[in-house]
Amino acid sequence: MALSFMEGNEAIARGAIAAGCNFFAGYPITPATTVFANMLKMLPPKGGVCIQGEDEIASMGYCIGASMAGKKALTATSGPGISLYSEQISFAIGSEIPMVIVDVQRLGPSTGSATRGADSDIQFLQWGSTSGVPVIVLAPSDALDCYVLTVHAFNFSEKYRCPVFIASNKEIGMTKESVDLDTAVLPPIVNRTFYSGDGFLPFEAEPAAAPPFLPIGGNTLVRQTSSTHGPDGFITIDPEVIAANQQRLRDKILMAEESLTLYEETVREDADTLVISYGVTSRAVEDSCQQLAESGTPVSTLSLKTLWPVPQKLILEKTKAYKKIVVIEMNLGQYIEEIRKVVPSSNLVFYGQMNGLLISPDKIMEVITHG
Amino acid sequence: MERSRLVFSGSGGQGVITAAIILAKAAVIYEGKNAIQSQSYGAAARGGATRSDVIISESDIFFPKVNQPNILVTLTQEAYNKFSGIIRPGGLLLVDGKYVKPQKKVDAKHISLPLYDTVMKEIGKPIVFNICMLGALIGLSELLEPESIIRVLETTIPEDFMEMNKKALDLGLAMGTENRV
Repeated sequence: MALSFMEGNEAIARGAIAAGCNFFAGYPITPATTVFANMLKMLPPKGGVCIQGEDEIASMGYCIGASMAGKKALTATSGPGISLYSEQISFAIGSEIPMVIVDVQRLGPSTGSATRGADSDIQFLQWGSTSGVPVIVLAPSDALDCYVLTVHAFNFSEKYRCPVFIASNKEIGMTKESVDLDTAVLPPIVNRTFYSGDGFLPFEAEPAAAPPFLPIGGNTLVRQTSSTHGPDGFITIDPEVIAANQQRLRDKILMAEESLTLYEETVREDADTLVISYGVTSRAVEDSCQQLAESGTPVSTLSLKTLWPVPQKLILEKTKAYKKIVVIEMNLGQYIEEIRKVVPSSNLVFYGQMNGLLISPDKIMEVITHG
Repeated sequence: MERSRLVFSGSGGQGVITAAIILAKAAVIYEGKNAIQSQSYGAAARGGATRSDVIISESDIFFPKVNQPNILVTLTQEAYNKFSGIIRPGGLLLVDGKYVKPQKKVDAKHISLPLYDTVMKEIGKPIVFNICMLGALIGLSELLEPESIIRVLETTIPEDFMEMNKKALDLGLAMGTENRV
């Protein structure tokens, strides 16, 4: 066992390197800057490229271009940067350009509080692009999660050819802790499928799947556009072609729900209450449920690591044995709306807090006991 | 002690966050313990109240913040007034004698040491004030081996500044050991 001491942002950078990331572009913003600083240390010695763009918009453009050329691209920002990325996130979704986008969340709205954490952007990450195409969002709770989930994020982005978000938080990203990366269970590395054969059409794909990839700048002409396109990459107004592409973009994510679902749970015998949480809040939940168990009240926990697509099957299956479901969030209620779609409202108890402070284990115990 | 909960507080630029990081890193890397260090501060780079929480433990740490520290360090009056109330009854409260006039309204072992004045008299550079404070804390609490702190300093501080940092740590250690309660 080799203990090291690092913050969540460094663990993300290490996860990116482990996943084969070879390109980073970004623009500094608290509390995400140290992802960039760590990539700057780690990437060039491995032959990768690390660029500070002139702003967020340019940085996102660099990532899109690099990914089109076949690189595994990472960027990191906070809520205000996601706002600036938004137009090009839509481009990456529509044109099926893989990349990993780290959002080290801080308290919004707008520039909000640079030095205060919150899970501000949980709905924004899903809905911050045009057209409502589903996206993948993963939420780490600690430094080890930051490392492991970043590898998953790259794998998902390569397999489904889409941007994948990591919804971190100032209280994870800038918190340093003991971590043993040797204990991490990493998935095998996935790389995008390259097209082989003749007659390449850049967006020709199986239903509910991403198209095979060829890089721009190679021997084969690769056409990319942000406009509505058919399999050949040309603009189209053919309703059937448009409908088929819209459906495919949706299905390739939603139909993969089960293989995208990541979570952790603590099942306690004789518990009639389950607490659902995600991100840094799961740490306080774990503390409070351990204390409750010691005092003779067993309570189970479910910590969601995949937030989007909503793991509906998992939530349905994991909640059915419990009388009461408590949902705790570091905002005033964003993900509870997704859980409400699956779990009967009469069984749900919600507590949300958004004041720049972490929700304390004491508060959670109070909600579990009296809510 | 199975679990130590510390809060370092002061003003931006005094090095309280750096000191907290050095302590927690020493505990993890050189003493094989679990530790976590987080921080909260305002938007300004200098000035403004700064706080850093450290938990050192033999077991897993989940919630990263400290609600009731058993060791509290305050390096400004503002930090003292704001945080002295949160100390665990009977805890250790270390303050700098130049900047803080303790009110002693809380149940704690108050230790006021001339950290800043000693650093200025013996070294003449305020930049190592935080290392002197760390030395005093180790001397008072015997939380870690001083050698573990020195080893972290050796890996993080340029060689030319090592001598000055070691001296500051030793000054603090001597003051802390003398005043151990």
